[in-house]
Amino acid sequence: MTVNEPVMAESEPVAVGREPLIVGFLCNWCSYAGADSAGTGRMVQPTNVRIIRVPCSGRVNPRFILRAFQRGADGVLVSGCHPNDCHYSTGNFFARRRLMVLKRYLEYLGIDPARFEAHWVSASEGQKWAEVVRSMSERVKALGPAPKFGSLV
Amino acid sequence: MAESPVPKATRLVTKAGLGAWLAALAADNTVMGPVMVDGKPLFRALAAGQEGDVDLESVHTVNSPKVGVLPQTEPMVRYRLDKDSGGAPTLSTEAPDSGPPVVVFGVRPCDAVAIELLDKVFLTGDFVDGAYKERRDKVTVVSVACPVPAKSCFCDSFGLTPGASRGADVVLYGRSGPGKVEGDAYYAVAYTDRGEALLGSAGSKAAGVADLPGTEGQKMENAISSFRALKTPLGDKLGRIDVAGKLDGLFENPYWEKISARCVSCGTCTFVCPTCYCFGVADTGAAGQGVRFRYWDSCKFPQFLTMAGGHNPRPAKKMRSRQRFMHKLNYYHHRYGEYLCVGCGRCVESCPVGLHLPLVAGDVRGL
Amino acid sequence: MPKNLAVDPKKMKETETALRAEAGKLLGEGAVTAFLGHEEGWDGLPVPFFAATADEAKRLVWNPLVAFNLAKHLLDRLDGEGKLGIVVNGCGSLALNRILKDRRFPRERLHVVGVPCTGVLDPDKVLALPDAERKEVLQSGKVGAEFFLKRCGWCDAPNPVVYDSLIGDKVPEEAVPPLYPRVAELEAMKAEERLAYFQGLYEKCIRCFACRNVCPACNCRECSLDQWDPLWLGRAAVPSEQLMYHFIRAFDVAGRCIRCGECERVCSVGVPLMELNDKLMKDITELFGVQRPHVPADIEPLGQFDMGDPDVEGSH
Repeated sequence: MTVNEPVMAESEPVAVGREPLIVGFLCNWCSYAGADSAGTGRMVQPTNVRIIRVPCSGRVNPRFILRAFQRGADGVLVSGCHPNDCHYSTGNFFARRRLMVLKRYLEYLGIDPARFEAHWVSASEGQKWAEVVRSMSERVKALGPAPKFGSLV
Repeated sequence: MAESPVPKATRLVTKAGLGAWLAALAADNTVMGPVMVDGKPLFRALAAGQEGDVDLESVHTVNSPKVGVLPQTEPMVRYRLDKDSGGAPTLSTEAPDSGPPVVVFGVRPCDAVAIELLDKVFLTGDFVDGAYKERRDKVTVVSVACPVPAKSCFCDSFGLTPGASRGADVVLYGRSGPGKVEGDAYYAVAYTDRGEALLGSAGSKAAGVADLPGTEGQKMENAISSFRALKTPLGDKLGRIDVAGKLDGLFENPYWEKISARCVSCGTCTFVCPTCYCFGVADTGAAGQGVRFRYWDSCKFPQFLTMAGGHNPRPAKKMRSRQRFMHKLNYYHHRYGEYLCVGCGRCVESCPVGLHLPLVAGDVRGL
Repeated sequence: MPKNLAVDPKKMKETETALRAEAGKLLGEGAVTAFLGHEEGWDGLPVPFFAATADEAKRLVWNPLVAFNLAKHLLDRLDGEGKLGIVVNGCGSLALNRILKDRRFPRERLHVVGVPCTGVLDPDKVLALPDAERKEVLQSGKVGAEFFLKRCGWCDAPNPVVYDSLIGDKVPEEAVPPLYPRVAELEAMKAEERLAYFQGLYEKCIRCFACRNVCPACNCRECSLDQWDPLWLGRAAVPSEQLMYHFIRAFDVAGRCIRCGECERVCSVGVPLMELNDKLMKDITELFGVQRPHVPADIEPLGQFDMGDPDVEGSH
């Protein structure tokens, strides 16, 4: 044990075992409502996605995604209103550009770009949401656990 | 400051045998030393197999060896919330293991003195820092007398020399004296019990640390004297720095406003400095568990002194610049009777705007 | 690299004389309350300096080593009413425009003296030369290409893009193709190798924030990475947090970086920070058809959108 190595063992990932943890940033007006309707509709979906509600996909700061990976997420997804349907009219347009750059950036940093996805799911698209969750969970599971950034201390 | 401490043990170590010696030491210690990383000499823990790459030619590393006694990030206590068999929450805490003994190797004599200056802060006075003490008690300092002072060195401004032994457990002096290390070996001289133990250990013997040939006693004395007689060009130019008294009356002087204008408020000077020691305390962790740790902080950062409630007593750059130099050249002197600087020259080399101690000390004389 | 990269110390000395005269005049007339330029600091290193009187203007310098971007120092004088003078060359004016376009300093409070530039030398390299060689270089200007600042190698804006008065004639401008060779090298590595590479690299970082503090694009009143609540950046100086710091900061300046490379130059441990900034610049240029991403515009690529923007790759 050297003084340059973190003394504390790697912080325990929030999800242990072989099930991947996917953090989802969902916009309140469309995607969160869509996910909600998937729930009330009792649609079958795996439980790998942990949802964080944001007012708009445009509120999603790239650092949220980086931090999710740093803290142990195996996959991250952002979902917002369809372009032209944003509750705040333009938020998702900014998000689209930003997340496009982020996707390539993540790959450059050494994180498989397949671990990050952006979707447009509207409030009435519960079915689509369930499908997004199913397919993404499958894809991320196949990739295995995400590479670790390292201990936090 | 004339110095002639009595050696407790003397040995001979060949340049070629350094790698083997360090590898032997690495069996029971964490060995930290200077290595070239992408063209820059850095001080760090040596990885397995890296012992042969130790670089003793560069005059000093960009970062200082204080990492050996005061890590940049040091866990203090680990806490965990569990549930006992009855389901009631139980909190457990533990102090993280400070790790195996450490050999801080290949540092310059000024850096060894700097460690002693840190010891004064953490180990003396009304409060002894337990974590520092636990780590410090396991550290053996092996310094190397400087073959050639760098352009930025000014240790003699503080009464030190490139052959100083203060603060070191063992000093390696090039066999052929100062100048590029042409000689094939170093005289390894132990000045403390810890140093004596290191030199006399079975591992050291097996790795080729040999007894000093009887005929070399005088040659060694001469080499040591030559190192101690070396002057640094900058230190020679600056002369002895003795501005503590003068600074008593200069707190409100407009000089601080003028000189601080160039500062970019980064922490480079603080973090490369072997005598800076200010730290903050923070927590990190996940649900139900975490670590409280201390980390290096810099009085140059605007938020350094921000307190709960938001008040910041040093919002202006001039206050922060003044603080740094008053601490180094006045406050510490009042408390401990000497300056909190050893003239290593790292601030001279690293500050992007050249706002460093020799500049200020020189200017203060003229105020 | 631009063909006409050169330092002409004699011409720079003339510029210096003219600069001192102009700054002195502005200060003497009270047109500005202070003039931000360089003065000679320790060992010949030009350092930021606010000349406050016509007399102090005589300390202003203009020589082959004026590498330091001054614009960020304007933020130290935000409080106050008086006009300020500032001297900028090509890249200096890009840094200034970054501050202006980000609306961090009012243009009306500035009198900008522009100096067309043909190249500036890296002070660290020149000042490390033995005395005789250094003197020779600074007097003759004869020096190898490797002594120039890295940014001179990709400069396509040698003439100031913002100024109220100009010292010296404009120099011919040359389109420089935006090339990011190091980015291409890294892109060719395998993904796992890249993360390991960045982890190893950023382990050197000592978290001094010199890179952030000299960056003209990093000009927030309060940096979010200094905040405690929320704690975006843990205070532990461990590779995991070092990666977060640099990855986040690079993205925060994405689309606004002026490619000055000052971040890299002031890094005391030599981290090649531009590897991240260049990657983002390259992608933004490709994705959104930006012509000269390093030249500040009124609205930057990530501050706008186009209805025809592509959807995030691989998503639906």
